[in-house]
Amino acid sequence: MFVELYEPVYLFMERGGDVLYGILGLIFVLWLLVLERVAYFTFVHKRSVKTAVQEWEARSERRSWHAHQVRQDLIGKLEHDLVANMTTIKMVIGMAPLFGLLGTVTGMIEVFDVMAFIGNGSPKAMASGISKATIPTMAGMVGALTGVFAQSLLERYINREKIHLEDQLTFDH
Amino acid sequence: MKIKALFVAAALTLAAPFTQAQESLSVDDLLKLVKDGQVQDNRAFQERLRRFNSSKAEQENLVNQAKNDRARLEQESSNKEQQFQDNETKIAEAQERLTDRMGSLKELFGVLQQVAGDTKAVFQGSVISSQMPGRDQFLTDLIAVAGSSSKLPSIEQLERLWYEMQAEATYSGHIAQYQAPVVLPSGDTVEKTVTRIGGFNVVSEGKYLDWDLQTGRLVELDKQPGGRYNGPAAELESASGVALTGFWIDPSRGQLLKIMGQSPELGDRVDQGGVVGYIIIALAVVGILLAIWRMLVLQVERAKVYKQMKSDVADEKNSLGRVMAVFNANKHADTETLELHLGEAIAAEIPRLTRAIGWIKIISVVAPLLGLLGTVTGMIDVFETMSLFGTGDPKLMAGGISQALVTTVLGLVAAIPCVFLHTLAYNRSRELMMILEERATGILARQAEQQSKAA
Repeated sequence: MFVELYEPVYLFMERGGDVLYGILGLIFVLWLLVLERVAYFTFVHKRSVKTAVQEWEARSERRSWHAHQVRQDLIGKLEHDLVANMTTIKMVIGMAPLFGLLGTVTGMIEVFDVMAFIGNGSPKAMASGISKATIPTMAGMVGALTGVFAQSLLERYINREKIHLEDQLTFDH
Repeated sequence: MKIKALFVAAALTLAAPFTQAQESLSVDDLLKLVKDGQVQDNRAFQERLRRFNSSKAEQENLVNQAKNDRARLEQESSNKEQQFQDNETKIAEAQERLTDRMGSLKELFGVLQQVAGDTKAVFQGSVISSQMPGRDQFLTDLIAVAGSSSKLPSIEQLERLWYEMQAEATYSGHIAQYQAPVVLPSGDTVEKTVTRIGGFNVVSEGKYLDWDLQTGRLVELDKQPGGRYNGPAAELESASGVALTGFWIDPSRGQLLKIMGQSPELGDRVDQGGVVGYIIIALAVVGILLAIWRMLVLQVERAKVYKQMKSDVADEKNSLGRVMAVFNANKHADTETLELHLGEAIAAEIPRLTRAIGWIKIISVVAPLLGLLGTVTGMIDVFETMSLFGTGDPKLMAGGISQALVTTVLGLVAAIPCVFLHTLAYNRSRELMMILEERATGILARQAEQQSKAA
């Protein structure tokens, strides 16, 4: 069962060349970060909002300059924790097509190497280089696309939560 | 009297060379001397004439003899010519008879010669020859025999050809281990145990060997295909008779392995990028060093700021501490003044945190652009070559194309770590900026409240 699965994946990686391993690692990191965000939102975020609200509600007064600054601090910390890693996710999404392009160019170098050795009459000999050029491009694109999808969902959640946070820390009842 | 004296003087002068010895030679003596000489010459002439006349007959005799000789030889030559022509006709007749008698056999020998030639080429190129050297000598003889008009190949030779071809086919299905001389990359020739896999490849000690046609030797390839391929080769060699091991063969019988050896190393590749390539590499190094420097500085600063957040005493050695000192100094001023002072203090800290990070970003953008520049200059090179030499030979265009592609690769290779490190450094600096801009006053306000509560 495992061997059957391993074989086509192995062949795919072999055809795509070394750059494909970079893209694989990149996509792995991307989804690790996305999952980290989802885990944070579901398990940690709610609790830290609750503690912030408790601290705010426990204050004796909520109108003074000091109170305003403390509220700003509470909201700022929560927002910062919300958007943590989002720039890294964006960076990884941006880097996936770059890796794809890198694969394209290294693949083309291989194609031209083959051409320099045995002329341009043999499309079969060039096939290895061409697959090394196209497969990483495709993999980079697919990786980036799935990442963009996840990232936009996370962004939407973060924006909603930010507005929600401001509402929860009211100045007075 | 005067004339006589002159004549004597002239005669004396003329006679001077030989009269020096006999000073007293007179004119009469001279005359006599001349006369004697005349008589003597005449006699010698007569003598010579007589001798010539006597030898004339002899000469004529010789001429006649030579003429006779020539006539005889001409006769002989014409005889021989006749004989030659007769023989020619006989040979033609004999050959015709031979052709008649051989019939379809003649065609057979033509085919035999051709097959033997093909087989010889196959044997010379086949790695099996490393195990059984000297097989092509028999074929060389056979080709000579089949090609000559005077000898016919024997049945034994025909059978042996058939046998050798069958043997080649059989051996190409075997994996064999034997001793053979191997030329190492250093140039030394060493006797080694080699393993031959059919007619495809030969390996020794986990290394692929190449069969060199010219020298008829096994040559260890300078550049081996790498661990993933060499490992199974070593396993195959040490495997016992029936064990199954995976092994990579080169189906082109060593051609692909040789081509692979010709592909340039990393250093050659970088060199193909030209000046633009080196500029990109320099930029990448600068970018990476900047990023590492900023990350170290910001990491230290971050640790100090987090320590400061927990302490009430302002430490002027970090940015939050400096803001705190300003807060403490203006604690009793009205809120507007306090906010102004705090804003000023924070604004003064920001450039220290964001320093050089913009440069990393710029490098990460400029590197691919430079790569593109290299691509375009490379393509210009290619088109110049094409306008000079046409598109026929891809090898001529290879220089420009490799420059174009290598600079693109270098641009990307420089951009990727720069983007990565920029994001890391930017995240660090943004975290600190956020602490200063959004949280600093809050933290200070909280600390102030706690102090007043405690007091």
